[in-house]
Amino acid sequence: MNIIEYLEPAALIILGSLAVSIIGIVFGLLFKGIDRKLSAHMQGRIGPPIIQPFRDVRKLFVKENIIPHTAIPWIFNLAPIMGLVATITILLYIPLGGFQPIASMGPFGDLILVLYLLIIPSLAMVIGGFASGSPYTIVGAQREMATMIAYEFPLAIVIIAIAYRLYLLGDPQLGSVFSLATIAENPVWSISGPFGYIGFGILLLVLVVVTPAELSKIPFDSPEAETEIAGGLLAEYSGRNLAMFYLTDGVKTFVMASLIVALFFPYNLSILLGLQGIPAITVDIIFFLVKVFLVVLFSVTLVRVAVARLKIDQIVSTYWIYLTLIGLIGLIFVIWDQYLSAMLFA
Amino acid sequence: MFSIITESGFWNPIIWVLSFIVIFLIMYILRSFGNNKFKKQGEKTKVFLSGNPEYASDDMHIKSSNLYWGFTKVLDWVYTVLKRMHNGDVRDYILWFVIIMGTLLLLGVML
Amino acid sequence: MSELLTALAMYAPPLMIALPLLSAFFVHFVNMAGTKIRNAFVMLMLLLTGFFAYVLHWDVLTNGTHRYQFGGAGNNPQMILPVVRIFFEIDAFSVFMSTITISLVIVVALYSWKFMEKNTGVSKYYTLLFLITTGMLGMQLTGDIFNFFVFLEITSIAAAALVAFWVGKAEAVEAGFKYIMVSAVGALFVLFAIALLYGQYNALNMAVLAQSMQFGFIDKIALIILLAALAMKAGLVPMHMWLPDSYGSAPAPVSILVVTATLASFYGVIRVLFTIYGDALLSVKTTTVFLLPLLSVILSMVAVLVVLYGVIKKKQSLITSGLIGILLFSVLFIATFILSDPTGMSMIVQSTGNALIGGILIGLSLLTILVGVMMALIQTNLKRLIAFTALAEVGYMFLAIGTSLTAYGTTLSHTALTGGLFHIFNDAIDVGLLFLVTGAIYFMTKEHSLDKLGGLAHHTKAITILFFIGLYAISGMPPLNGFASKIIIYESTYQINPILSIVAIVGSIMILAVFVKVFYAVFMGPKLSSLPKITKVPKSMILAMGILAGLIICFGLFPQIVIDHLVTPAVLALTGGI
Repeated sequence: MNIIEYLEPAALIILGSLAVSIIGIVFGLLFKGIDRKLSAHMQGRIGPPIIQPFRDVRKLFVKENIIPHTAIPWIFNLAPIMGLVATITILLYIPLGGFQPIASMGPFGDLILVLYLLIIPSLAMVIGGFASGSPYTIVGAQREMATMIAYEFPLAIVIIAIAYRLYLLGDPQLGSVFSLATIAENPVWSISGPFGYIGFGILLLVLVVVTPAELSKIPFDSPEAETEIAGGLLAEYSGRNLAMFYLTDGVKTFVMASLIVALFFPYNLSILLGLQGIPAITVDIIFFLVKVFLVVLFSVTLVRVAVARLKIDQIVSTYWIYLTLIGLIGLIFVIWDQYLSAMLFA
Repeated sequence: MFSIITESGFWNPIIWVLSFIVIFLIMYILRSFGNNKFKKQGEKTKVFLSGNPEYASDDMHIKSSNLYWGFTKVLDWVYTVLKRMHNGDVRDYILWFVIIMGTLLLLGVML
Repeated sequence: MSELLTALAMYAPPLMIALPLLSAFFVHFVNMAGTKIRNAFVMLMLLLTGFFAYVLHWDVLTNGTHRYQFGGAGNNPQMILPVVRIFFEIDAFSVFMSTITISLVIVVALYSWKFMEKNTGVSKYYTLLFLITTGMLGMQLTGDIFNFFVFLEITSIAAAALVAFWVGKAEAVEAGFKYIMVSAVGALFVLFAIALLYGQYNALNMAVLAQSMQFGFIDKIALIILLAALAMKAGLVPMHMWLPDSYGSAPAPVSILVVTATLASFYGVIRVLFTIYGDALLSVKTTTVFLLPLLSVILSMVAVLVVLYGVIKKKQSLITSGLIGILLFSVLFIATFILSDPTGMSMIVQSTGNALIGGILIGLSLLTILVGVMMALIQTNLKRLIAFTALAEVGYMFLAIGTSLTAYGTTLSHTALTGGLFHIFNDAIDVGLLFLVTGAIYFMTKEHSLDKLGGLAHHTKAITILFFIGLYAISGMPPLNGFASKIIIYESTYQINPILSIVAIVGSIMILAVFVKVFYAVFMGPKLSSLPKITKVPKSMILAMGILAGLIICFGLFPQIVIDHLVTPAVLALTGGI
């Protein structure tokens, strides 16, 4: 037991945590700004400047932090910050372009962990909403929870299907199949045959549809539905507590988009261009941000300007019945890929 | 160090808790820049009800059986079946046991 | 020091049975000296039993399997196995379970101190508590299958009486009646199966049975009967309906005792499958020539079409049957490849006995998880709700056991079994904590109905935090212990079929939803005027809950230490190090 050998990872984790806090918040807010600008243009408006979210946060920090008299103060105050912190920790486990915070350092966390950590921000919002004690927030919070159990089914299908496809390769050199590093090294498109393309195409579609619900965006934003329940589970939040939720939303968008990139598009340009050293890292990071932007554009911005809000029972039936079925069909294709492709095309 | 390592994945609670604490401290400091006061006068601390009057606390409390309405509505057909199964009749409990054992015995011939 | 412990461990097995059994008798007389002395006596006796259990655990882990012989001349551990004497054969798995049992019983006794204070006939309660402890420890330590039946009966009768302890309530008496009915039927079938085995091999000792197992027709019948009866006592869907009834109407500490009794039955399932039938199941191979993979592909496509048709025509029954069809046929599809040669190209399927039994257990366990969480979601009685989630947790254990059995003899089997056994411990402390908190809520408000509770977080911070720890742990959220065992289960079961992990993950998230609802209904919302009198929870009850919460956090943060030192020896004892 040498204390020195524990110090180095500890220091790395502290530095990594610091780094992802900054990355998460800055890029989260930046992508939020871009999303707002783009959606405004799509709707024929001019929209706010891209740095508007930063200004919003600063404004919220100055505002009064009101605690309603029905609330349970310590839970009411604790929930927002817990959600934000848990969201930022996810970034430690996801490969961000060429930059892999602690995902590369050792076996610390895998895809199942990311799936579970993604629940915590929603859980924090639900508990914060319940702790406010107002009818609007409670209705919003229970809708958020119902949405959560609905979309976890297709989300779990996607995640297990990817790991299962890697497992089916039966390659002992592969390492842990739930590890995001392994998935990034063996992109799903390069390990599968024709059936796999169909299957993973379907699963990608499922994941893209799950994303707006994970982020409480239109058409799955009935927990927050401003026009009906006045912002739902956030109705009683103000000031810095609301700022925490605002930041959580931004960071979670970034996390979710990074996750889709890591699962389905983990390619890097640097190898293709034959770059090394600092130029390679720069190119990879820029390329990664472009990919994240495209994912945000297609799964958040485009969807939210194009469609209207669904009712909560429609959300549940969308996910639990239709998307789950589509996901299962995708899964069956993925399973066929290993056996039937080998049989038919060998 | 303290990692669970299965063949297909891994999980290290200590690392996560450590980074959680570090990030919590950072965010706590960030949060403390914000305004933490509010003037308690007026109707600020009343909950927002779109201008409707606030009722007594017992009437404002949403009963738990109203929660998750959308979910239970969509899966109504499942719940109909499940509720019919859980009828509280001990004869049916034994019957289920007999059914399962009988099925297993039939399958057992295949062993 | 270690000689002393070894010497103590030598006589630990009979003392672990004798101490609670005699205390059950004496507690009445001690009661005459006053309640304080009686409580001290109960605690002392349980701590003593616990001490012996821990010493025995230590001894088995350091010195290997411990054998204790009742009757016959002398106590000779080298003796060749005779037929008539009763043996206690204690391996790492036995002590693993007995440690769980006795730890929970000690916590329950500490909790009951104040919780049961106002009831009449508390000395009878303690008698029954000691009896059920005797029964459970006996089931876990014995190496004799008839002896196992005897202890099973002791447990069942004591548990039934405990369930009906609040005789003033009609529900409690009804639940007790149901419990004894179901237990009696189950136990008689167990006896019948034991008789079949005795008729075959003229032996009752588990090791002897395992060695001489021919796996003929009668043996298969006996296996199925044992499996069905013990699975019913462990609460496998659809033989689970007695379970919410009895958990729901008993006092909170009793609910935990019944949970541990359920786990003892689960222990029986594992013993029968792995120790008695383990090698026999593995060695027998029946070769079935099937076009099974192709058939299952075609059938699952038909099922997909049925579902789509049902969606178009808006016929829920079609959708349901189609979904079940997809599930079944894809399980079949994967199963064929698991069972056939590793290249997966062959259409000839070799099925082993363990794969069939494993498959059945997996199927029923998925049903258990789903039915458990779905029913929990709509419950309005707090204790019934927790009972249904406890049921779902049992489903996770059966899932792991089924996976382990299907892949018996591989590393996958080892991993899945590790997850399953670790989950037994985690489930016991998570569900235990939640039941204790429920008891505390009842103590404060005299209310179990979720619709009538609310706003308790305004009154008590400690109980709120304790409940939240229980909620967080049982729904398998990182970093607490539920996640540690569930991640092992997810990451092993998917190798049999991805559907298994998917259902398991969805189930655990639905458990989260269930308990978030409870958290809201009990602790959140405004202060209610309908709950004017909130009794303060005594320190001893908080301490009992705190012990379990502490265990949850420790197990969550250092899972690998627990696995290495407690779970892996138990797994190796079952699989024989394959």
